[in-house]
Amino acid sequence: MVLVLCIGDLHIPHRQTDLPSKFKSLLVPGKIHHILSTGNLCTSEVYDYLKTVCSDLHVARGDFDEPNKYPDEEVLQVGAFRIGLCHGHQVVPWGNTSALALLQRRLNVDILVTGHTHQYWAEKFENRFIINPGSATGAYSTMTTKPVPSFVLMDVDGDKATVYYYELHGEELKVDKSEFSKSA
Amino acid sequence: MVAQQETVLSDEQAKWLQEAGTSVKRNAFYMKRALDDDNLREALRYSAAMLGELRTSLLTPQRYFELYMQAFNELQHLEGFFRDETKKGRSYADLYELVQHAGNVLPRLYLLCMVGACFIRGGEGAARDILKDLVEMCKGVQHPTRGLFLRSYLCQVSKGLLPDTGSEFESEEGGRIQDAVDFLLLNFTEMNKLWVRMQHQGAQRDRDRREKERQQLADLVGKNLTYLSQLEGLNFELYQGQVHPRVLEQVVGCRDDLAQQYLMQCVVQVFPDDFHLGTLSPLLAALPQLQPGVKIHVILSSLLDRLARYASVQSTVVEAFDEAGVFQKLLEAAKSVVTQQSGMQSADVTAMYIALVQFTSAVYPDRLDYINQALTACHTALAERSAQEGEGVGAEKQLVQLLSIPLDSYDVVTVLALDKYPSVMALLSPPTRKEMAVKIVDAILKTGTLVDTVQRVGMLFDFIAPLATDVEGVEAPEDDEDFEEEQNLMARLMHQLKAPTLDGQFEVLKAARDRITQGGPNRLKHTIPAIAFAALAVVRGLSAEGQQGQSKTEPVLQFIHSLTAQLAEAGGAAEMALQLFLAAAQAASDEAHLDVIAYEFFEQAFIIYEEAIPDSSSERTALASIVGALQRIRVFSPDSRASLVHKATGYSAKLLRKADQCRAVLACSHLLWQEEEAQADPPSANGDTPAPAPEPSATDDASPDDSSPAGRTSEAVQLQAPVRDAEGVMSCLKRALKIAHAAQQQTAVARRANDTEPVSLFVEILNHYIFYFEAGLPTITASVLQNLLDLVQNDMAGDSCQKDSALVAFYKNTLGHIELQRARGGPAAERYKQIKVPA
Repeated sequence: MVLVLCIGDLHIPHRQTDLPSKFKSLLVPGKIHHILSTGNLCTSEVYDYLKTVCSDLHVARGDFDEPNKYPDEEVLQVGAFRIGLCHGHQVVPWGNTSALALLQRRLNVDILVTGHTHQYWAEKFENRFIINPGSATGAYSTMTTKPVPSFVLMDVDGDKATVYYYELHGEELKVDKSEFSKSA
Repeated sequence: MVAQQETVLSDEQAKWLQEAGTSVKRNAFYMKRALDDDNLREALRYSAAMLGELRTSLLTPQRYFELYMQAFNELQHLEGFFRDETKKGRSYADLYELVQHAGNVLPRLYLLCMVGACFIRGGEGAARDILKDLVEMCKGVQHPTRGLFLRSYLCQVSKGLLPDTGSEFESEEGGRIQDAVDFLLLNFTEMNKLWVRMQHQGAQRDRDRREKERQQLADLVGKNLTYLSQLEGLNFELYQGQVHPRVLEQVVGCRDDLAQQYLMQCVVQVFPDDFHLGTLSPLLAALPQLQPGVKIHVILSSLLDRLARYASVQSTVVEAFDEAGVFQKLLEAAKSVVTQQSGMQSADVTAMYIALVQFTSAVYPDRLDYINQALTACHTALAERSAQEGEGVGAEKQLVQLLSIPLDSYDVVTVLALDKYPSVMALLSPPTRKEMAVKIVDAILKTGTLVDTVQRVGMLFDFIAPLATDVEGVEAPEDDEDFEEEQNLMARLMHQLKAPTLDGQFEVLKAARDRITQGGPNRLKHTIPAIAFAALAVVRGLSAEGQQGQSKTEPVLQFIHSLTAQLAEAGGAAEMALQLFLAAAQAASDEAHLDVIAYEFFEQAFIIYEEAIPDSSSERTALASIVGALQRIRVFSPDSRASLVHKATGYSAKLLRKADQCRAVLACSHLLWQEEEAQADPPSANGDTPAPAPEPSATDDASPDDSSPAGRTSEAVQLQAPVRDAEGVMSCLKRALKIAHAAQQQTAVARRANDTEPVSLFVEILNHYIFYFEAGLPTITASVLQNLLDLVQNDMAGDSCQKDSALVAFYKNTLGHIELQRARGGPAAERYKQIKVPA
């Protein structure tokens, strides 16, 4: 059992003051094995914070990250899954499933983790899985009018992945779950 | 050296104590034997000899105390015997006479005290007379240590025998409460004199040690005050009329630092709260008269602690405080201490005001004006002192503590009303001032306090000036990282500036901008994006309220425009400025429906792209953002859109690397094909009817009479139908193919036979064909797709391609996609059936 945190588009300090304290108290150090960040950490303080949650931190460059700090794309193997990571502003039209599926075919990944839209979204597409963990701070977005803070926790067990999706509505925390297994 | 000396001293002391102790024991032994023999005369002789050991001058107070206790215990036997004696018919008066025969004054007085106590207890003598007699006779011993212990003994044995109100010893002859008070006060006065005199004994160089020893004796003197406070009959009148003035007279008059420090605190601690309230004026008036070495703030703060606790227990007390004008009295007292104690350290002055502000915030939580008055007084005092001494104020630690009290007690917005606060902050050294500012910002962020009016924003910036502007005397931050952290904090703060209405919010942001821009370009870079995004949220809010269009949104967008222009000018933030222009362009389109302004934002983004983007990696990101944003825009007329698309495609072709060019051109193809909105009409069933490029939907209500974008002012327009230019897409794709071919030739020329990148570009182009084939573009027919597929299949057969596993997987995935789509059913599947997929 491997826990993978998918989190990104925090946009601190440009669009938000901080990560919601409810999220902070959920993200205790020592529980998570990998962090896949869809980027837009914007400052090294946020990067350092995520590092404290889990030192195995992978970040894809967001459109508001410093140039050359993070790669545009990254692929890594977790359990039976090849997982690809890309912020998504490079994929035009933004947030388009077919365009993301194209990227997914190129990266040859079972799961693509992508962000940019600030809207949680998960879809199974031709035996592959695309996840957008949304914006962890619910930051302003040109694409989503009322973004809410959200992130995704993936529990990978061999060829099975259980995806827990956390969303904060005001003070109320909503948790949702879906499953994805790799077909042979 | 010193330590060695002290060990020697301590060894000697132990020796002397042991010798004296042995003598006490021996004499006590004979005394007890005499008592057993019922030989009073002998017993008295030995007891006097035993007590004679207390005449030593060799022992330190600590050792002397041990010896005293030893003798004290032995004396109990004698006292017991005396009690029995009286039962046998001997009167205390006789005994009183008898003990007077002791040869030395000290033993004699101890014995007298003891017998005197028995005398009173037995009811034979009048307490008043005997006590008066004893307390007067003790004046016979003027050696400080001996006298202090003797009087302490007197105090000890007479406790419970005083003619206190309600006591069995109170009577016409025995005396009243007044006599009890007189006795204790006199004993107190005499003891204090002895205690004070101690410091003048011995050599000047031993002064420190002597003061330490005196400190050990403090409680002996203070015991008188404790007993006074425990008298049943001590009511407020008596306290106010006699005890308080006489004690203070003694304390102030003795002009001794140590005594004043201890006794003032003793007074504060032992007497009841309501007594203090009633005698506050004279008590406070004594403070400025104390010796310069006395820590007045310590005394004041214990007094204020007591008063605050008093007020917290009883609700009526605060009213009583008000009637008595307690705050004003305290403030005046503090001021007067400052004036009269010119040598008082700034740290101590501040500590005094800390006590006052703590008291005020505890007792008068809603009297911010009191805190302001205290801050004013503190500021005046410290500023004067530093002006006189011609140096900095110092007292940093205390000032930080003083300034932190309001932050801990109130929310920050309330603290902002303390207009004297910034001036007190200004007394801090620049680094500490900045730390304080950070603390204030942290407090706001931690509690989520909102700063909701223009006025408060102004005050906030006064408070945190060291973060918002350069401070005179401080060099620019040496450490970039620290500076960045500070300014990120400021940027986060911008999101806490929030008015309840959108109009108010806009005003608040303008006020923040005015202050931020005074901070110079290095600060701007960090804070402007935050203000700009907050302003974008205002635009969105207005749009949600149905207030698109010129009158409301245009000023906000203009505000964002000027902010972003400033950011671009600041230098070193080109990428950020470009991104902000793009975000604003999308807001101008999606939220405000203002095409001219949206166009202007794009134009500015393009200018930055051309002039200021530093390297090719930034260029790629910037171009991807431009294309992604422009792809979504729905507000432009076909002409405006065409010029921007033309420009963006031009940029793509100008990228250095062919591969980057090819991918950018592929991205640009999407500028000519917008998706249908979810709620809009679904694409035609078989997908092969081209959606015509829409006519500009100039509507009557929005842009009535002007169709030329250049001449129009910013009127809200209706969004255009999605662009569906199948020909344009096709020509983009062809352009991409051309670039990929060129790349292929380039690798051939450079003899990079193993470079598979051109082929992977072809696979990528193939995937775009597939994208548009599925989207139903009439220009991408099955045969067009088939041709490309065959071409790619051919290229893929090459050895180097087959060795590139990533490329093989990409291609395989692409074919797999076609297979899956074909198997899925539906219109696209039908068309896919015409495609022959290579095995």
